Amino acid sequence: MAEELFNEDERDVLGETVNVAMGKAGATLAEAFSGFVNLRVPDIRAVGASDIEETRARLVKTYERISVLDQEFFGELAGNIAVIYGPASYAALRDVLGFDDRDGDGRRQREELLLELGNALASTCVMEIAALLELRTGLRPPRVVAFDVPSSDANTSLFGDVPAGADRMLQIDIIFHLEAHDVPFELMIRVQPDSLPAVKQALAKRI
Amino acid sequence: MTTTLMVVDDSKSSRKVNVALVRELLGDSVECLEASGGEDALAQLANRPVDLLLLDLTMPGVSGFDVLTELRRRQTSTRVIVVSADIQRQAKERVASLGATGFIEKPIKIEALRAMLTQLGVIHG
Repeated sequence: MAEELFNEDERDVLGETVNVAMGKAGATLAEAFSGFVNLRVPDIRAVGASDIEETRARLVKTYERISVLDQEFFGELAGNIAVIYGPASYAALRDVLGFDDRDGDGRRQREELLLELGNALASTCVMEIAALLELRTGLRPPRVVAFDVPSSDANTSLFGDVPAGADRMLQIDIIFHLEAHDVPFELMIRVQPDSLPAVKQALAKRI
Repeated sequence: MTTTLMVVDDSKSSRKVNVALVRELLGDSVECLEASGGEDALAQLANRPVDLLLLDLTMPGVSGFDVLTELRRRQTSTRVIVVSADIQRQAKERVASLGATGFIEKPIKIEALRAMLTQLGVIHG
């Protein structure tokens, strides 16, 4: 939980803000797959080093291999957003979009696919949260930081350390569950500690 | 005639906004109830009739979809306006097939609520 960073009212308003953003991103995913996306209540919490280890362990347990798209956002609302694809989510993408990745150009095609969908999900989510909180933000180009690697080997900014001087960071986990394919797509948003005062101020205006 | 309306949302701030908008539009002609989730709503609805629900979809435990399914099973006359951030076309189709009479996107705007309540005859002309 994010008790350490926000009071009850702030958490409530932040939760609703993330809900609206998640709804927009879910609609993007639903359109891409022409299918229904189950939305779960997002998990919003303060994380420290031990939680990061826990996240790493959960991903290793959940997925044999993963691909990760990472995108940095900057400004009044700053941080990183990661889109995590397990093997099933990638296979679903391939089936729905109907391309053949067995040719020599497969890797490039696959990376482009992950980038395209990941960028759409990440930018929709972050830009909507920023717009609702009336905070300025911008997005740097997305990068595929892990591509179809054993999840235990994934060494990305996703698993980076908590910045020096900051005990806790704000983390928002969103899982979209693609019903027809029974596969999850995960979004993990980490907000920089420097942005928290602006976020708190924005939330206070809405209470 | 007084309309009994229940706002169902796990977010306290959303309930507060929805109740304020309903009171602004309907004044003394509405009795406003609140439920903090699907389970709470179904428990309250088992004990008293309600004319209209403003129902969130994405809630922990019993979701808005579950509430609609249960209301259909109970064959209740309660009309349901879904108020949700889940704006997928498929979500709108699904709630309609489960018997919802309307859909308003979050964040809710007073004009959208006014139009819906007018359409349902709760606000007259």
